[in-house]
Amino acid sequence: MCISGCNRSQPPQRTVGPGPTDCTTGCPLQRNFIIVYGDPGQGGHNAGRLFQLTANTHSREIQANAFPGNIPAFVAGTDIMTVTHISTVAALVSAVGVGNVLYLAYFGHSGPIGGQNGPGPGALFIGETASPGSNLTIRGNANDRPPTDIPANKFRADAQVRLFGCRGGFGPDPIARQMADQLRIPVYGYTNSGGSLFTTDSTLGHGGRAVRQTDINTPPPANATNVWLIPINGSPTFTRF
Amino acid sequence: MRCISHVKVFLVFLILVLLGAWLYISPLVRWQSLFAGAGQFNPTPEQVQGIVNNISLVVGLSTKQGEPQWDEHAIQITKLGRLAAPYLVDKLTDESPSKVFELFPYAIGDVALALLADIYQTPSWPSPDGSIKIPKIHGDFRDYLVFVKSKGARERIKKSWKYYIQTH
Repeated sequence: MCISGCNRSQPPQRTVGPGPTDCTTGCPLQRNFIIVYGDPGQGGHNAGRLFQLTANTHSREIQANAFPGNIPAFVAGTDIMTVTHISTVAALVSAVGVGNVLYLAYFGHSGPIGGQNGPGPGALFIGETASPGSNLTIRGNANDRPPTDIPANKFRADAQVRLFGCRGGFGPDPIARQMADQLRIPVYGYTNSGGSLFTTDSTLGHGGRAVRQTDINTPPPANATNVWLIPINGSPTFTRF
Repeated sequence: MRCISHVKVFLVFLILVLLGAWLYISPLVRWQSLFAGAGQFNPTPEQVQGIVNNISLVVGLSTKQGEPQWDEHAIQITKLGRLAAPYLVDKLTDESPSKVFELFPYAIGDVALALLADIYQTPSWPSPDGSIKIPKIHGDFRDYLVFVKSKGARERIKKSWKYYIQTH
């Protein structure tokens, strides 16, 4: 039996607290930090290994509590960091299935879906092929799964989600808002209308300055290990939904 | 009394039907042309060229093949379908900057290539027939950037697309 009621015979309840003391026996003690990255993309949108590199960079910074902003503190030795590749919404659901999730970050393609004359609802384009369950969105076609697939009870009440992808908070019904409506926790996304770029400059990657033309003209070198994904226009700042 | 009431209702109904019919056939209100035109747009070549020329106003592209465009000008161009193809092919060698940034700054020729690939949904890229193999250095968009900056690369892409749209 657990203080929070998250015993194995019942669905885990949302918990709040500074450390891994939510349960006594038979329950996970750690809080889970989960970083997922989607498929690279195809054609001109092929990001190769860059989403993975940005996810790994973010993981290192989160574990060192070195990423600026209102990010939950990572407690070394007790909290668990998981970085994993996903190609479907089902894989995302599986990743958060460990429960007691305090932090979820997504690196990958995202943005609005085309409507009749302009942007429609937003989506995470997790999978690069047009296959069932490859998009997270409320649109509702054969390849889409809605945010309601993500179980809200796997997240702690003090959890947050950050979307590192193009236009996650842009458009009339951005995916960041769709996820926030479902999970009832803060979901952060970029509201910039432009696409995103990869940078090896940590100051820029942390939102410490605006994008310059040299940043635009300088893609990461082949041997880059620390890489950040930021929106192209303006200073990279997250909007909370 | 009830019979008279029914007659009144019938007369009102008849008047409304006749009024509707008159409005439909009346030359004052060209309803037929409105209905006949619905969903049909047969642009002249000049109109097609004008719409394609708005490629410089496109600010963003769909980031997944098969997904509809969301930028209003990209939507208008792709709605033209294959009518737009010759004009898009002409722009493949245009190296002037566009408003699009999707992982890298797109030249107008890059936007034209993306819209052609969207219209034809070709499995190969950047040439529709797979005749152009981009040397693999990074395994991502950076390889394309190196390729298109090499001498004659955009001409090769244009040539392959020109042949493709003539034969498909």
